[in-house]
Amino acid sequence: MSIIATSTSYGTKKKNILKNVSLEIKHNEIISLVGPNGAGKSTFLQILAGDFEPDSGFIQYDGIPLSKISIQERSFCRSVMSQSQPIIFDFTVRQVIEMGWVERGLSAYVEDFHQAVTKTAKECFVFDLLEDKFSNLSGGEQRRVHFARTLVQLWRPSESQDPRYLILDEPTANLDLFFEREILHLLRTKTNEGFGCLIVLHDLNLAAKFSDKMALLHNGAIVKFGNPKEILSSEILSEIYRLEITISKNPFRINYY
Amino acid sequence: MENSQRNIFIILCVSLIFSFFFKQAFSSTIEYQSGKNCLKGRDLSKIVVAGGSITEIIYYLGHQSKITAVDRTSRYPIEAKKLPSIGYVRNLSVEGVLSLNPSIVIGENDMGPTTVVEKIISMGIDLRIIPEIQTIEGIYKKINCVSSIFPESKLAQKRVQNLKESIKNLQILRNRSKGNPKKVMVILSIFGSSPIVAGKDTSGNSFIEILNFKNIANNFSGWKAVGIEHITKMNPDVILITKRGSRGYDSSQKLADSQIFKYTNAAKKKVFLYLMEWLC
Amino acid sequence: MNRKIHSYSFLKFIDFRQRVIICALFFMLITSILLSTKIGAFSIDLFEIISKSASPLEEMVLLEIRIPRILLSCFVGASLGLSGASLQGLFRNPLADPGLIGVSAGAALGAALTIVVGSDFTIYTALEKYMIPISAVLGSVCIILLLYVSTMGFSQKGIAYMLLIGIAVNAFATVGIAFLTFISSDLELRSLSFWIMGSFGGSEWITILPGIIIISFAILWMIVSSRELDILQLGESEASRLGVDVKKLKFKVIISSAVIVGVSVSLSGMISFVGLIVPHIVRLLGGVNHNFLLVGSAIAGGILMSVADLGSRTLIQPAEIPIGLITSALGAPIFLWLILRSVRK
Repeated sequence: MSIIATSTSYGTKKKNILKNVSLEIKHNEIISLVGPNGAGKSTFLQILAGDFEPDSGFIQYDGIPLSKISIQERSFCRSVMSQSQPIIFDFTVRQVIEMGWVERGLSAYVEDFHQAVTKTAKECFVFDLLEDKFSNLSGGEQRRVHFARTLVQLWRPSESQDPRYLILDEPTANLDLFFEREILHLLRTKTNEGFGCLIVLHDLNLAAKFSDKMALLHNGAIVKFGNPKEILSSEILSEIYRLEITISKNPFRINYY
Repeated sequence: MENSQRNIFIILCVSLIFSFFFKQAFSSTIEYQSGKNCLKGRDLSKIVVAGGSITEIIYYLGHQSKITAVDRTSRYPIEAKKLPSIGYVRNLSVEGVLSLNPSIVIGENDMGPTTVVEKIISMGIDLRIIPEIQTIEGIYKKINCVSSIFPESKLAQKRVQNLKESIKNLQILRNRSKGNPKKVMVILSIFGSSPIVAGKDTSGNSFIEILNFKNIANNFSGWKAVGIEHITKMNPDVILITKRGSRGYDSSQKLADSQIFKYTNAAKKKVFLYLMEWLC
Repeated sequence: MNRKIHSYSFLKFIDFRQRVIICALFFMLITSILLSTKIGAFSIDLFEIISKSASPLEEMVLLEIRIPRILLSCFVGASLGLSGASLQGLFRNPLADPGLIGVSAGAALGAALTIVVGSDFTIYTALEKYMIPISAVLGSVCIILLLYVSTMGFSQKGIAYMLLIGIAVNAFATVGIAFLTFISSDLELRSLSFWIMGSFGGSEWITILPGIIIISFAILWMIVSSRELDILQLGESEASRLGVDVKKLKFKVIISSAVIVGVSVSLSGMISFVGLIVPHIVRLLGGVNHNFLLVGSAIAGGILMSVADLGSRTLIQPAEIPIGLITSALGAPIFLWLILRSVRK
């Protein structure tokens, strides 16, 4: 049960953005994808989510090639949170969260609808905002609402064992320290319930602390993959980020200023 | 023939002859001396006409051979359409007129715009604007005026004589219809929207009044769309409709069967009369 | 993987307040229809008709003249309101309007062509009655094809690009109409100007029934996409990640609005601003989610149009005010207010 990317490549006329990237996202696991700007993180995320197809290589969801899965069925098993666009009309927070609700046509889910929205809103600390206008919220609040929407999309009745995956592009952007920690804790809880997560993070310490595995992407290729504490070394990071970076063990910490 | 039907037949004949003399009442801003306009033309070698009714009169009088160009409203007789066009009577262009190098320009009273008319005068061209009064006498005067610009001819005299007789017939008709004013409605067009009906201050209204009938739609002015319900309620006895504006309804039967007129007296007696394109 | 999909239960996305508003709007629609059946050149009492105590003439006027007209006005209002709401949702632009994609201009061009040059080519007299509707629909179909081809099947470069194409197409059609106005005679000019400002005066059962049937189907087809329009507000790629086939949605919304606007314009002329203002009024009333908005806009459009037509029939009796004049007179100030409001934001 996993999302597998097998040697995916993607490029434009000018530049190869991804070169032979392979990655497996198992459930019960948080994988963080780190790397400098322009490394190809977002492109890889989009290919993984199925926005477009790679030039070569392929993506499999639980053993089925992604191209064989309809966009509707994709929406049942993975949800994506990316840098979102502004919403033009005055939707309420509740309505925005409800947009994530993917209708599966099963009565069990229909009855769960209101419970799913309220419960997720509470988890993401936006319950008090439910009736507010989305466009009046601060950036951090909007981010949390989008996160709640992403979670609602994968709502299942508690006994369900369906595989499901979260693909998150900087979920903690605009969040203050408290929410940053809370959201990542929530992500950990969800992973324990059976989610598989791929998150793009810029804060290396945060990534190292909260992820099970880390993929270090540089110039469209994965340079290192594995347990953060094992794969990160000050030489590699310094080279990739063109910055003096040291790593202190006990506590594990990456220092760059 | 039943009396009322004969009346209508006469109206039809007369209207066919006269239809072209009516233009929508349009107050002209151009000042002109009516006497001067009807004097004999100095040079009639190259005539430019601006106004459908003038073209028609010239053809009627048989003076058409010297017409060089006409405006776009000159649609009758059909030969006139083949002549070079100087544009729309109310929106002429100076260059268009001057390029034809006319010796005389004969125009309708609504000829315009004013600046163009002034320019034509200032270029020293013999410009005649024919006065227009929407009565029978007015028609007669108008034709006489045009006629006096041209040299006398037998044909023209004969035609004017015919006209006099027609007018006399019309007078008889007027007298006859005096006691019994029929409710008449003039309709411009029945496609695309509610029927467009002649109210007060329209050529259609003058036409009805000349015949001494009553325009039933006289409680508004101008050409207006009138709903089918109101037409049913007004219940005209006679409906006059333009041929062009009644496309698809090419017989009285079809008009009488149409939704629009179904419940009117006119439909019951099938008194629909087609008018020529006296507005175009 | 589960393939049981697509049994949306719309109701859960419409909250209690919105349900009340929809019921209230529906009640208003019924009231305005009943009012319209009563008022007119003949004052007709519906109960007298039912109890057969009215005169046969009154009954005929009601059944054959007034009711088709009221029905058409409601359907045209509903289709303009609905297509305005869904196009605003699709383009994610509160100023979008059915006129914007050029379809109504195309229909107008088709009709104008028939009015102005059609009389020189009478093909078959029995068809004359349908000439204007048919040519208007053909005009809008041509515009849709042009849009379809120039946007590579509504897919190329996203929605903003299509909006620009629509504006360009609109300009073409406007030039065409202006040219026809220029070459038309007095009679044609009058018909044209009355037609362009809109009128329900020509409503007859045989001409409106096909239109009403087409409009009804298109309305149903469009209303089922309201949930997808909601999701589209997150952005095109987000929507497709949420299982919305964006290309299909665009196709569906554009084709069905084009069809209903084309048919509406062909039967009643150009009626501006309804498609623009009705969705905004409904949003102000009860919320922006499309499950509510589309149904609400359809009903509110029907109300507005039947009231406007009542005004058009009765304000300056016996003459009629072109209905476009009434809707524009109402619409222009509201439009201005909306712009000022969005600038202030």
